[in-house]
Amino acid sequence: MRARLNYLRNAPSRKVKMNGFLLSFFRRAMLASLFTLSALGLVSPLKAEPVQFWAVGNGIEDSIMFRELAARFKSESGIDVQVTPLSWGNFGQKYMTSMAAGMPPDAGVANLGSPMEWGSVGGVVDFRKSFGAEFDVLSQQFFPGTLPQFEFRGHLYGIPTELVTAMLYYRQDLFDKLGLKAPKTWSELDRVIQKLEAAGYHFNFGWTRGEQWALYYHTLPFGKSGLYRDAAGEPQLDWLDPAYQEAVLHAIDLWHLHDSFGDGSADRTIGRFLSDEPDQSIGMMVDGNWLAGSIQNLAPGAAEKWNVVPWPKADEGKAVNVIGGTSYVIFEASPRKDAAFAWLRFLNSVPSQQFMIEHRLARVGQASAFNIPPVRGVWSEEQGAFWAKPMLKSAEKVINVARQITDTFVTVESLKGKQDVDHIESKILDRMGTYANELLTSQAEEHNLRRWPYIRALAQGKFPGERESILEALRVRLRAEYAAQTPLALAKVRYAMKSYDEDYAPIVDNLAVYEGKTNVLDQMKWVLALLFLAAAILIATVRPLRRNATSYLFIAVPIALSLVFVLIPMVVSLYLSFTEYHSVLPLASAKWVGLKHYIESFQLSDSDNVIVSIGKTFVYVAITVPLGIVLALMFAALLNNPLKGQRFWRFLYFSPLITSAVSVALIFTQLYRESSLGWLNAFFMKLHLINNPIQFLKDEKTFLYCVMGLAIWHGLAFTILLFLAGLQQIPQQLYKAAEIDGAGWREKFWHISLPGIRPQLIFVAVMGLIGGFQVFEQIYMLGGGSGYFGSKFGPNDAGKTMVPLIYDLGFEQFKMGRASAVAYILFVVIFAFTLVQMRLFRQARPEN
Amino acid sequence: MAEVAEQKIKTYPLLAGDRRLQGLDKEGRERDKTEDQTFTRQTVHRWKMGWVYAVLGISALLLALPFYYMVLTTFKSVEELAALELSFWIKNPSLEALRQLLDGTIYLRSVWNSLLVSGAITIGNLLFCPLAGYAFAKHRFPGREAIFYFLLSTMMIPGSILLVPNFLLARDLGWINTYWPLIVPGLASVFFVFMSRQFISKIPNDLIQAARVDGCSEPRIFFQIILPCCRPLLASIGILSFLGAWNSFIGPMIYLLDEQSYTTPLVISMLQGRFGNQENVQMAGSLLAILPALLLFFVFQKQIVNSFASSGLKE
Repeated sequence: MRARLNYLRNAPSRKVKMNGFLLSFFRRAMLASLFTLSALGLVSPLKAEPVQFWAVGNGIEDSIMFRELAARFKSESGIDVQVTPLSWGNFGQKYMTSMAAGMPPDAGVANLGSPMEWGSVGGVVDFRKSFGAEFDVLSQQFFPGTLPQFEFRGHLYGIPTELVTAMLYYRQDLFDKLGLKAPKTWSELDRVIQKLEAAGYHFNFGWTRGEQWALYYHTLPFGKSGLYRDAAGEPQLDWLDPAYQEAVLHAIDLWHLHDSFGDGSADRTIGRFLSDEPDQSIGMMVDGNWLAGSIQNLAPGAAEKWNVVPWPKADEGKAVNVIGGTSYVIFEASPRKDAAFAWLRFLNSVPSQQFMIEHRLARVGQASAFNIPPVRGVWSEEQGAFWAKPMLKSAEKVINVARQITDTFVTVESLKGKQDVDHIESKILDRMGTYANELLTSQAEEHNLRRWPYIRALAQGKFPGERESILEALRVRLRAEYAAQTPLALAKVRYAMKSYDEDYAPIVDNLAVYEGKTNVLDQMKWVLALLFLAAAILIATVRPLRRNATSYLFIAVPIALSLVFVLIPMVVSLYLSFTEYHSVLPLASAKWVGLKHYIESFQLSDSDNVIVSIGKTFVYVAITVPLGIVLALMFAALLNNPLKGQRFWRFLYFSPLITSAVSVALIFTQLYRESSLGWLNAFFMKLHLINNPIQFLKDEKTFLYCVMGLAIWHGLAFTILLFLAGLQQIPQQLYKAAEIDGAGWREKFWHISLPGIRPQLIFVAVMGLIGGFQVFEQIYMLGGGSGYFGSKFGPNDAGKTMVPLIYDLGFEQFKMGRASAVAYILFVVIFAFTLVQMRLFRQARPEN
Repeated sequence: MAEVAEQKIKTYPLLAGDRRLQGLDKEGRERDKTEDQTFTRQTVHRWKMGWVYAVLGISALLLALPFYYMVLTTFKSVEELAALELSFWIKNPSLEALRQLLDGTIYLRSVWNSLLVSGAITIGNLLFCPLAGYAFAKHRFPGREAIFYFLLSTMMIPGSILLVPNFLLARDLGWINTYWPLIVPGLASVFFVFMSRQFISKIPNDLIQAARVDGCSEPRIFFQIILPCCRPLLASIGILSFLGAWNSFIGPMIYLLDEQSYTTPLVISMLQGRFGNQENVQMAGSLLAILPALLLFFVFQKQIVNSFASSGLKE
């Protein structure tokens, strides 16, 4: 034995032959892998002649529509357009990434806020500057209120494509029965809601409920846009203005104090809208202008039952229809800007607009929609024949409303830093929503009522003064929130404006100069290349190394990958964390800011601070890990019995093992629906555990627990499996012997099973901890990350643990420096825990 | 009796204090065995197993509930979805949701994309990890320990920290909107290198030595002697790396721009926006993503379970 060991120890000094076979093998292996990999690389985008156009939409239908338009455009102008579909869920990140990589399309669809954001870092062109007189002609076609939002510092970065607005859908037959008239002003709206509720019919706030960006419906009638520029050009906030606060309070009232269902499914909402069952049916609802087609599709016979009116006017304010909608942009990096502009002009021509309207309405089911064209010509008298077409019949009511309101469209100028301000206000509104819900529920419980009967009773005037006192409490809270957040928001927007003027604007104006410059990181590449070269030369020349060339070759791939994709990036990341860098701009524009990001990350007042994130992560870990272990132990102990049908049981318990977090999260999102028809709520209510449905994913207090529930469910299989494997390694004689001695299951469990799986226990505990720091997919999905409005990690950012924070900073806000700083802080935290882990492991292995 | 107890105590020192194990009662007297005979062992056993089955059965029902919901909702028609009362059953199953999913997304294409990415990563790991593991286990060369510990230490760095710099790296390499940034960094996972080293170090040296004496070259030793001994290791690496790549989300989300190149989890995640209002289509997506995996799991249950178990047991 010893002799052999010695022999082996000497073995390495024997020269390992690098013969022909080795070389030819490696040549073959390398060729084969190169071939496979290059076959995979085929998906890289074709930068061919045609104008590249990204059509953001929610279905495949929009890209079909644009492709048909592209065919028409080609026959007209001879220009080829290639349409690529993109989803609203992640369009922002996709565009940013493409701009950062210098490979954006020529033109594309965007939302309303993005053109200014992208334009300010030189991503998209200024229409006015680039197309001059031609653009002036085009801009005359639009409703005047639609352009200001694309303006910034005299530049104009986008043009409108289609508009959406909120409308009031109501049940005509019901209104007739109750003697109600469709509301025209806010006070009428409030009164109608009260009468409906008193009679047992719901008022439902569907689209934009709780959304910060839709606050304009409520505030602009008073001329308050939240963020604006004063006479001196300085950014200011309306947040402390009592009139602004009252408008917001009214919004909160409409959103949260009327028991909107939150069914998630539009089918169900429409089902409720057309139902006659008291306590279940909706008498009136706020929703978008696209809904008519769906209602018509679902209940073709019910056309007489319902009607639409515009969003009512504020009693003492202007009639304002504020829009959401979409825009077209042309990218700075495009080599075919003129062709792209011609294409956009074609899209905004009257025939194209009419084609779009018909195409949208002709779709089946929920895809059917009517979006309001921003081009005035479409609405002119001459187009009467078009509007009279029978196929437009299904949307007739909505079209009529749209016709009335196009002149009242208003948008406001964007400012740099608006995103930060909006984010802060959005969190305020989330907190207010939670608070309103709590107030209402606790009041209801005081009267031993469920929410809906309580709201009915309020409407019937049974508890005079209570509604007012709830509103008063909300008012006090709202005032306090705005007072606390205003300085921070102002500081953010001022900083953003200043850094635009001082940093970004000069860079954007001199992009060519910066593109020519190199950065420290560019030199890194040379250092890396030299390192590899040096290593190769060393191995080839130094004798003891050369003898072991084969060994080095064998380990070369993992080493190279670790160097290039782990070690070097760690250094790069450290450097970036001390700089301010926007990834759309050239690397040479990175500006050294010292410890700024680290300091800000630890400031509690900063909305993206790491302290709260780490706290959330700890709560997450402290609950999921122990609970997961206890449950898994229980199931493993049960499964360790001599069961009939082992295979079947294991299949049942282990199957979550191979499912992806994304698809499982999708299921849980629906189980967690806040409506009483969500399964989890329904179960709890059937068991009389709760009186009112829990606002699972909509409440900041419950959101993270929902993520935990999902994570425990998803992680259980792996833990059970490990424990079971451990339990099965314990010799059966031990149990037998214990039984002979009269030990019960408790003794056996505590004294044999548990010590027997100690290594697994520690492994699970530590891996759970590390895994908890890495949680992302579940939070992204449950937060509705891929929904309509981009990433959000739960209400009030309740689910913004560490990785979501890094992702958000780096790939949604594109603050690469700040994201790197946060990543480094996370690294230090994880490193500390890894040290603890290693110590525990050492203890876990008493022998050897 | 005493020997058995002694044996137990030796293996599990914690048991030392347990008097029952030593056949003593609480006061330390020799225990009266006849006491235990009041129930026959079999009755006790049957009762106990009844409880075990009951608890396991009920829990399994609860745990399988999300899957049940998924299947049920997938086959619900629009009318049933719009219904206002809760139903845990389905009256008129409809394939409408599946049809809409297949028409409205690039699901099938995405499966192919996922197969490409996961396949390439799996092949890379199957080749490079045992190769490096073999060198670390059986070769001796200057710097072996140092290099090995360097590799191990990179394992402590969580991937999420590298998101930003790796994005910039991929950008500079022109890798955005290709599969390269998803495949290349994952071609040789350090964890699998570690696993391979542990496994291969147990292969007797005699085998290798005999081959060397016969003039076998190193690659040949690896392919003809080492690899055939490594079937369980290869199964584990294959299954784990494939599943890891198949389910990965954040990488494809960041690097892929063109929807035609999306992998399955990405397409599934997009359903939230694309079919935001259609619960049945969303569930159809989940079903199509989960079903193939479940079928594979049903067939290869043993191998898959063993791979996961081995990933945890090797420290």
